[in-house]
Amino acid sequence: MAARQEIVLSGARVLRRQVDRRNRWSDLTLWTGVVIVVVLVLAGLLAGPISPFAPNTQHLTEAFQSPSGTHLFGTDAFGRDVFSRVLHALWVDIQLGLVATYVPLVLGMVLGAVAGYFRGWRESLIMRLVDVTIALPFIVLILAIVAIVGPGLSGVYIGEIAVSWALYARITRAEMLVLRERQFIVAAEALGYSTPRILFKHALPHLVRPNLVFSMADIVLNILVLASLSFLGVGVQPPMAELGAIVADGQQYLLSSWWITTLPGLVLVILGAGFSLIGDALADRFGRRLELPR
Amino acid sequence: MSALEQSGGAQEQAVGRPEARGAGTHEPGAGAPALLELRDLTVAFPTRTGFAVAVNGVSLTVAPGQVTGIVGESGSGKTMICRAILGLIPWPGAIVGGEIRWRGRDLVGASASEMRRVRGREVAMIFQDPSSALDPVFTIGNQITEPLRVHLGRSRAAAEKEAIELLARVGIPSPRERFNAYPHQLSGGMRQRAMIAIAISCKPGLVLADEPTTSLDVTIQDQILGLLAELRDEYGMSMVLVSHDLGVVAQNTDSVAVMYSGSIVETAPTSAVFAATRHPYTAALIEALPSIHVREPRVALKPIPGQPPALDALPPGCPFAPRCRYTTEACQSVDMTRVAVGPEHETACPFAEQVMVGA
Repeated sequence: MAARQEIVLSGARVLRRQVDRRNRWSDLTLWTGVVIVVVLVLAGLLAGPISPFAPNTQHLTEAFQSPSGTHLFGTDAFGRDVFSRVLHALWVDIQLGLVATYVPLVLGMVLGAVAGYFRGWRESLIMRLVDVTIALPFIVLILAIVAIVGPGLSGVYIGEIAVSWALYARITRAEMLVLRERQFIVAAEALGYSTPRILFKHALPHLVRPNLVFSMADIVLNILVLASLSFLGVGVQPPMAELGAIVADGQQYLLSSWWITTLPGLVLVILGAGFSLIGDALADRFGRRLELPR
Repeated sequence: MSALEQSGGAQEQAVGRPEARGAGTHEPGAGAPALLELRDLTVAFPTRTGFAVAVNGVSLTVAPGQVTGIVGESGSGKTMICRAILGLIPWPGAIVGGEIRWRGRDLVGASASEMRRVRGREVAMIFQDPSSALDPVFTIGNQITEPLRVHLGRSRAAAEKEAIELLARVGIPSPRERFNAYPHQLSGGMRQRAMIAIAISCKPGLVLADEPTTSLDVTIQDQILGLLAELRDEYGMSMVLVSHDLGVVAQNTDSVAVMYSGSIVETAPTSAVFAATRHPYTAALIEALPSIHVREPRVALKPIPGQPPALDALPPGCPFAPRCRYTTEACQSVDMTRVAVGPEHETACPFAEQVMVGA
């Protein structure tokens, strides 16, 4: 009897350790991501006070200096301090990443929830619109919108918002289809609550998670789209600092002055990695927190 | 089955139903106007090939203060009747015919906002599985106060006080602590009690209990049914008790409707259903039921051969005909209109009196 209990307990301890290890790993992922993102956001927000040089002031005599104590990331073709430009670029990118992700998230969730809850013509209308939006290549569609609105940050904002709501709508509708037949939603209907109340109070908490996980990947995607567009010359316009634009500036000097392109590119990668790590950890927590290791 | 030979006079006596719980002062259908009356209710779902008729011309009356049982196997349309009463037929199904008269007005044509006024306030529903019918992300307290605040306009504090009283009333120990508990922190029986507290919170005139005890073990089942009977007497509510368990229905209802393939095949005062069965399907159900009263040793249970028909390919006439032991050619032209065979006793089988009495 006692021996048997001992076996059970030791088995439980092993299990506990495995679960703990898994949770610690997930914690580590989350906090690494959070630290990266927080540091970069603060650096971006405080770019004015902390950057050693003005981002757009040219010192033609100091062009193409390699990284040093004075110019951490070196200087570019116009003698501008790349580190200062990167600091100023950070918030431009992060802000776009956040706005171009969470405005469509809200938009897509509302439309997706309506489509999934009501079915019928509302669903057909919304989902066909989603199909059309998703069918067109992302960058091409944004390029088209930028071409209409004109190059610059506002064109990118409009373009990204017009495109990325569709995936949130699709995710949310799929969740809503499952949810609307769940008993507690039927129970809420049976209690005579209004439709907005059912959608926003009862359904919403169950719809947020998958969207939140996806949004972390989406922020990265949206920032990269802005960088790509700037690299192509239709995003932010010179002399405004933006990571993709800085990378594009240095591109023709890549072999002689590698730092102009490489170091800002690296910052972009780290920023993306930060958001991705948070996304991974959230997916882990929301989806598989209590799943036992095999 | 000697009981089958009982005459109409014997049925009348049996109406008193001494074995039923909480019968109290209620005299079954003593001329009282119907609280709820279904007339030819038909619910259908479009399918690839046509229509699946989930509820097929059902007529049923629920008198004030009465418990009406609906029995039938899975897929016979019991739950769909409840959802139809609340106007909650799942998409793409719809009520395609008939009337639902609630206190005299027809709910079938009612607008969405009219239906919302009925739901929760006048007609409440108790679901089969309380662990999925309670929202896992809100506390029990939150879910009980919500109807009080939304429908009765109670303040937060008043609603909380009332909710705790309700929790105590449905037999949840230390209700003040349970108020802040999440559904997963309660046992199955406690969850069903909480569900009942939510359903009765606005003192509805009718409670639709859809298999309220199916997910619970037998002892808890008994407690929950006892609680429902007490509440019914206390609040003067009517109840529709849906179950596939003949034992539950026998002990807890005043009258019974037996369903098969979307149709009601027999309605009768509860005792008459068992004592003077007048439909071959009901008889077959009763014979398929194990009993602890061993009347004669080694009575084998009689299964009903075959399967219920597909709802989108119902046979002509009586849907039970293909499985019925008395079936004849004539069964294919039966139109399922119920005929009276005793006081408040109706059967959809026009041959029942010939084939079953003295069988």
